[in-house]
Amino acid sequence: MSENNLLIVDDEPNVISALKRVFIDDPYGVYSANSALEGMEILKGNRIKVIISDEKMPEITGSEFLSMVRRDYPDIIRIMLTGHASIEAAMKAINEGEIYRFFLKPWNELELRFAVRSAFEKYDLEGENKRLLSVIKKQATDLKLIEEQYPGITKVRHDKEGRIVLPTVPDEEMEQIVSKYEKNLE
Amino acid sequence: MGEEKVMIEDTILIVDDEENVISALKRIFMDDAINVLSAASALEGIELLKQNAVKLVISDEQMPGMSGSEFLSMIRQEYPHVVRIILTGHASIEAAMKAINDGEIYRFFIKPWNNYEIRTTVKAAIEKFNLEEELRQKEELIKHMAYHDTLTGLPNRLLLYDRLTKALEYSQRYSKMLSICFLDLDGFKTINDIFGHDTGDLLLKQVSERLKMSVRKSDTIARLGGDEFIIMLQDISDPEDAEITAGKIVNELAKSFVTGGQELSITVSVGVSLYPSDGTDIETLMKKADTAMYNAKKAGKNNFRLYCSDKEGQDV
Repeated sequence: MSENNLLIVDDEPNVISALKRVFIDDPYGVYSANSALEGMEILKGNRIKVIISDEKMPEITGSEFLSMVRRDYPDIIRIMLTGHASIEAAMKAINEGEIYRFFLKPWNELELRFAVRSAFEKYDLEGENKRLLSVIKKQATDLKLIEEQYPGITKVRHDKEGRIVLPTVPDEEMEQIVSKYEKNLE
Repeated sequence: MGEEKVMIEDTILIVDDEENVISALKRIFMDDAINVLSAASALEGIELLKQNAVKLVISDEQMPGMSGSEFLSMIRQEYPHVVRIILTGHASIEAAMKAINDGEIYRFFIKPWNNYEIRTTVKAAIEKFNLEEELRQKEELIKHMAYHDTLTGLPNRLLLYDRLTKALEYSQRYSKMLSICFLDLDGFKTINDIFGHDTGDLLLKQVSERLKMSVRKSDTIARLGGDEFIIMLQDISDPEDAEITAGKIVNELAKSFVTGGQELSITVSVGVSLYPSDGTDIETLMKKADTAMYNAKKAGKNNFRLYCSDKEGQDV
């Protein structure tokens, strides 16, 4: 489930094998593709968290590929690694691909490894935040639904001894609420 | 205009050393409920960031003093949630890389800009910022609620045990003494019965305020529920320190309270246990402080008792 999978996209096979060696000691599943199209195929069948893409590739460029990834898989963290040091490429990559990092070839091994590691951390952190947000939203809607049906039920009342007073709800109705709630949880 | 001010205003900051650029950019947001601040340099911008709740920064790259990418990298460190955008006339690939890799910028724009693009980008980014801000606040609230008592705001049992665990490790490593005071109010139930729960709740809040004033800032006061409180005194050098504090608490609470217009009197019974003489783990120390508190109740309430080991077995 929480496997750290990395996808490398570059049209030069020797770049791919050199990059694979960079991550040989890191606990990642490393996938590779020779083109953006091939990369898209891999994304369909695998849970990739981080992508490193070249910019200059035949047919679809790296920034085009990364903006497609951003559109279809917004959670995946995107890194560009290019030999083509142009400001236009950097702009396209950031504005359309919302990349996390931009590196030039030849790369600095340590820098690249560090960036990929923090990219995985960023992915996990954002996933956790999203999960939390959906829990909060769900709880708020649940409470609202229950409150609509039974006004006042979500407020806690105490008796004189400090015991919590529960409203009297007929058994069948209680069962209905519980089963509805359980269904919601599923 | 002042009267129409909305409660939550979105503030953005534009930093550019050319005045006409700033005024042209300001015009883009003329019709939006956006408060636009401007600065002519990074340093000036930093000052504005300190004083205002800025949500987004648009910065030029080439400016005298600090460059835009350096400025935005600094913002990322200090204010990581602020959205960062570069708008520049000329930039090197190195500057762009710095802005992306160190500044983690959201957008990189080139002058001359497209008004529509800037406006929609900024508005979308603010929306994203607000959503994330809401999430951060709720997260904060959830964390706080999990570790604090909702009535008094004091740490709850969970946080107390967490701090106790750490404090015991510390005390062991540095051979320090630690004390647990178990507090139980005398006759609180009667006050609830006579004056009602709202008054009782109010009194508990006042009690917790008075407890805060009776101990050091570094001590932990926790409410376990009902009228039971625990005070953890860390880093004490003598059992007498715990006695002095316990005595102070008893005296302070015995002074009357004015609660909801009524003068109320309440007292407290306190039981004290000490690390390491009475025990070295949380359970034992809590249990012994509880026993000592029970002895204080038996001795007529409104006082404190240290745990007395030779009485063990008799009181449990």
